[in-house]
Amino acid sequence: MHPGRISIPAIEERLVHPSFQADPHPTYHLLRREAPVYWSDRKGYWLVTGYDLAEQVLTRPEDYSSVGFESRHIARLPDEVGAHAARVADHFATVQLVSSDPPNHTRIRRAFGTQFLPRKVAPLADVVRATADRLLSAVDQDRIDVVADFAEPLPVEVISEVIGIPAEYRDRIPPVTLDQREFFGSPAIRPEHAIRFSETLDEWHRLLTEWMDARRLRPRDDVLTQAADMVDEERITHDEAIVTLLHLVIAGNGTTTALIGNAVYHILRHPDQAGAIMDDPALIPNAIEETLRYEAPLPNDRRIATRELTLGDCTIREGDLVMSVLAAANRDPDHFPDPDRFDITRTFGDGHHFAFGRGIHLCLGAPVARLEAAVALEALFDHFGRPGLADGFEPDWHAISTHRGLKSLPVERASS
Amino acid sequence: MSDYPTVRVTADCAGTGQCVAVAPVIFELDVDGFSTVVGSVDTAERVAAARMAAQMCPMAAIEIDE
Repeated sequence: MHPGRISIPAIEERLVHPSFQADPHPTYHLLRREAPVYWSDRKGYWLVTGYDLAEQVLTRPEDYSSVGFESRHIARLPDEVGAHAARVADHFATVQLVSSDPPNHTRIRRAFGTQFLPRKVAPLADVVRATADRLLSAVDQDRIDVVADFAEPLPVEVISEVIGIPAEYRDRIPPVTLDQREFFGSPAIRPEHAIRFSETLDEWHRLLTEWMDARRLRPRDDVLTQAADMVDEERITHDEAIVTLLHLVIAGNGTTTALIGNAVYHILRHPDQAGAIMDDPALIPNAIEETLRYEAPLPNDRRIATRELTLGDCTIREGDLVMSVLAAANRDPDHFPDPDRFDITRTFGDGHHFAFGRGIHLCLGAPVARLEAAVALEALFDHFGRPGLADGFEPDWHAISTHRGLKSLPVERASS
Repeated sequence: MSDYPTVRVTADCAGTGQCVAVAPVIFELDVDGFSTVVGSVDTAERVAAARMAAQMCPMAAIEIDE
């Protein structure tokens, strides 16, 4: 007997309560114990909170598809908004990495995969460090906002270097990132938002096309050149190149901002661990891994069931939206002992965290994010010594339905 | 029963390490960061692990010849 969609009123209340936004983990633990595959009427999707169950979903693309989320979202918009969303629908109907299944996914991934090899991105460390030093010197005061002054601008510069975005256009990256996040994550989209997002997409299509053409005349060692080559070799289409490039630009900045902010916040909350890092900066890469596990920047990874499926004790209907809750899988006590403890010396072994996803959609930019966050923390501690959280700081998080990151993080130079 | 499949990593490998995470007895990353087959695939359990690794590879770079 496999139960289908059964929502539990007490859990429905918790999922929309402000305390869930502040700390979702008590609810995730409850779900994992009582209903590790749970249908939420209010959310309109399944939450999969167990490590092994989330892995099942993410490693079976033939059962749990990545295609169709955006078109469904757009189809369900109110008419007055949908009337202005044709351009957006068109953009997201093009095959790209995150919203595709094999064989299309494999084709696009292979076209770009070599650009993100760990050894290929390693030389970026110098660019990241120089950019971090420049940003930190510009705000070299006794108090800075780690998010606004540092963690937001740094990834924009770094992903622009990787892709090849000219310096004078980089200030357009935060707005398009926000537009996309709001369009798919905000509960109340207005017509003017759809119009603005459509215009922004048009502008990016035009710019990226110009820049790819420029690379055909003067190739460089960047992703724009790679994209132009792949189109010319007919491995991908022009439109696939454009939407994938824009996706990489957007995916490459907001998530890394959250990662850097989350890492600094949790390290500073644990003075013993902050002290250990000051003594031995070689601990930083593992501190980044622990941050990824403990406070994953993307808490959910969505799929759509391609047929009726049994998952755990539940029957999933064809077309159901299924969220693998990466943040919950990352705190499954069967895989991570004492999971609610933030411990920068934790050893992960075979049971690695889910922060970059699992299986074929594993984050393409993961090597960049890891390198960037580690170098950012080194630079921050070099400039500030061991900073402290500003007096009376209370974390204010972005809506967890889109990503998990702090809106601001004021820190103060340690008084010596 | 007697024959086990041949497992190999193709030139499409991008060093994502997914295979090493699920089947560390079979795969390792070499000095250049690419996956390489280091363990024998000679038990049903290891065949299953190799298939899981092939299924999880973002680049579809693991070939299993039955």
